[in-house]
Amino acid sequence: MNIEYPTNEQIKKSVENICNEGIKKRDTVFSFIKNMTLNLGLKNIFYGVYDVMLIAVLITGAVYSIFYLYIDSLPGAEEKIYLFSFTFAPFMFSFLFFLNFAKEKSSDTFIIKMTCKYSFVYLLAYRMFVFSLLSVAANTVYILVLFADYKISFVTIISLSLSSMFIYSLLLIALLIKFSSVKPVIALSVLWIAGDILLYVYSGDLLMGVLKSVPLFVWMIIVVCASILYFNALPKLISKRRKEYAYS
Amino acid sequence: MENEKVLIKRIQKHGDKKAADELITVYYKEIYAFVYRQVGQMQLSMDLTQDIFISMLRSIDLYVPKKGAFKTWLYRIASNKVVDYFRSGSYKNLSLITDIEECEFFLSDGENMETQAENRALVQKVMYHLSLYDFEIQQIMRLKFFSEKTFREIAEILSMSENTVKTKYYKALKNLRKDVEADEY
Repeated sequence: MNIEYPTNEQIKKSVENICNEGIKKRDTVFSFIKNMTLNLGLKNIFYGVYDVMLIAVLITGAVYSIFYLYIDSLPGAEEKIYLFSFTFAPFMFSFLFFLNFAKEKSSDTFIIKMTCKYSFVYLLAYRMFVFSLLSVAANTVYILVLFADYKISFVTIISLSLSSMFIYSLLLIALLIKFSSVKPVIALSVLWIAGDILLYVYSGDLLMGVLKSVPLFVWMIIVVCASILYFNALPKLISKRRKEYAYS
Repeated sequence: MENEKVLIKRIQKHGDKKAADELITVYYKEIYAFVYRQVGQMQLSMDLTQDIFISMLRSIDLYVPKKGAFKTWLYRIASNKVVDYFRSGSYKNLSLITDIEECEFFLSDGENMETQAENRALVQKVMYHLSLYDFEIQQIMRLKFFSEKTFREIAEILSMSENTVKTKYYKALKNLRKDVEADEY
């Protein structure tokens, strides 16, 4: 068969057009958040999730309050506040993540969401971004309000709290990227909580010693690095999940 | 040319236009020929080829080397685009006014159905009926007729077993004969 090929010049021009059209600027986490907000709107992104967020904020507040009421009866109350802030910080984020995930999975629209342009994984990534900010805000506010009367370094406590939360979030998202299943994430959360409780009950002094020995600026560096890594990992989560759906 | 895998990785990780240019240049003529054999017009073939490669670049993040060869994945995109075109309004409008002389490109020495297609009107009927078949059947028939792929290669492109491809192909060929013959009466 006689095929009429374009000239080399025409091919070169065509390939140039293809590259210009086909390769677009990579999404950063902030452009991803901005585009999704503009295209979908906050109302739709968080549709059906407001109750989850409210429950998480209230339960977190309740736990902080119980600790606040109980703390005076503990020896070394100030030290216990440092310890508690570090170990409990990831709780709200974890609670938000799992409750949101469980609610979505059990909803009738889960399958539909999986096939949309902005699929469940985009929603998950967006919500995780917001959940982490909400957890940071809630933890900080509860600490500042409840422990205002204690002689503690709020900068240190908030740094401890944020470090713990972002380290946990980073591990969570790394597991989600590495594995297809949510089971490793559940295992991480169970181990984190169990580990915290055991350390708190049996080796509280040892853990406190470790936390105190790390200079404040190191905690601040950890917060900055862990948060940057975490936010940059969100688009990778989307990319990974899209590949799985493409080949399923 | 740099190793294909290296080029693909550079495109996936950094959106490297130079790597994309190099990769596309390698496959351009082959994909163009696949399209041209079906549409028979240079400009239209260039447009469709361009669409195919743009789709390829926009979805290259989804390509996983472990799942299959890049060429196989590219042909999957190409056959999807071509079938989409033939099912679209654009083709349906075009086929009504296409000069019968343009069907000359279809004349080739092939097996059975292709060898019989000396009659240009017959060829146009074949193309028309083929465009009405479902997506999967069109993909199989077009890859067999126009890209000279073996059944094994087609099976790989479409993620089917070779036996399934053969069964569907011969069944579709039989139906195509019936449809074209029915048209003549």
